[in-house]
Amino acid sequence: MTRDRTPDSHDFPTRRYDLVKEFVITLVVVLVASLGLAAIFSSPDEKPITMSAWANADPNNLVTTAASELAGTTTSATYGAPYNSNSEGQKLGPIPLQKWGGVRIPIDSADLVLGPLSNTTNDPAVSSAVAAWKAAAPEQQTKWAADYVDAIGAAAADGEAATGAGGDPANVAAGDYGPVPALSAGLLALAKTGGLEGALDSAGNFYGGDTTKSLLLLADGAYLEDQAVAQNLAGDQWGMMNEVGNAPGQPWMWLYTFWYQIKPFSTSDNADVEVWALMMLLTLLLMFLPFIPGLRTIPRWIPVHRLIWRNYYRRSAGRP
Amino acid sequence: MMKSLSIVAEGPGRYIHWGVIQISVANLVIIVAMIILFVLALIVPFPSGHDEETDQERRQK
Repeated sequence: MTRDRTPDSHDFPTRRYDLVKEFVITLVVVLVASLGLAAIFSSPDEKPITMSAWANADPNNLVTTAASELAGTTTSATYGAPYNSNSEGQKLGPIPLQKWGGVRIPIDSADLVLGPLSNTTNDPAVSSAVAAWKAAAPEQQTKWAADYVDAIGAAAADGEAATGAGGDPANVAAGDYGPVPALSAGLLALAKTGGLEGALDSAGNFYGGDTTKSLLLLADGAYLEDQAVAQNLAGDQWGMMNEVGNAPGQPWMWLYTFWYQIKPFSTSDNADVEVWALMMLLTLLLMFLPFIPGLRTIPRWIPVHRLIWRNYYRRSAGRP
Repeated sequence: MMKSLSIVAEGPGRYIHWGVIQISVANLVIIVAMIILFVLALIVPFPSGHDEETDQERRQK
């Protein structure tokens, strides 16, 4: 029969500790700090970005985006799951994780233009353009839209010469673009009235709270990204950490956004899933730290706990 | 009242660029404050002497 070697709990040293006192002090300090910091920093009160603002600030870009949606060449049109099957999307090595997610929110990019315009009954030109588009064969539709996008072209930027009409639909060369110019112009006119968000989102759910289509259309244009870059919120600006204006952001996101700034992630088409996988791996390492040889002995090499409990260790060192 | 006090968040954000690192001054201030608090928590002694005394030591007296 072996003797139980578990020491009696009364043999361990103890110290008096007032948990309620600590809780009250902590509560008061956090309360004062929260109210004080809220008074000093406040919170950002940025005006929402609207289709109307986009239409007025950069009408040419909205027209080009509308034509690109019809041509199926925008970011959302070629995104893959969950909106369509037009690409495999983000892959982790050979594993098509995004594709595995499935097309759960099917959206035809042309519907971002045709949907709102189909409900416009007070403009005969737009109504006949919608009818002409729907009557055409898919190949003809794509050719009209793609030709119009090419004809509009883009302004000179980043050392590259201007293409097409330099990004201005008013200067487009004559050609067979079918109803695409009328559809694009119709969407611009609707956006200027402020009714585009409602026309896009009202089909989402009963309360019109599903803004998926509005956000996709907005994100396909250049206006949203330009606003984000101006506020240092872009992915290559450590934007995940930042907040608009001079307000503090999310500094705890530093590691997640750090990976996006360095190779191979900064030049990878699959950066999102690769950074996610790396962070999951690091999280697992942290979770299982006590079981990982080498890492679990770090406190012996860097004995921070001995600094915190220095009085205890000082007394222990003096004992036999 | 609160709006008039919130002068710090007004205006465009100020950013520090250092190689690949880009950080807002507001975030940097918060990170530095957290590091200072951590170091203070390590080196500042517990409030009173008698709390450090263990029950065992009291019994030995």
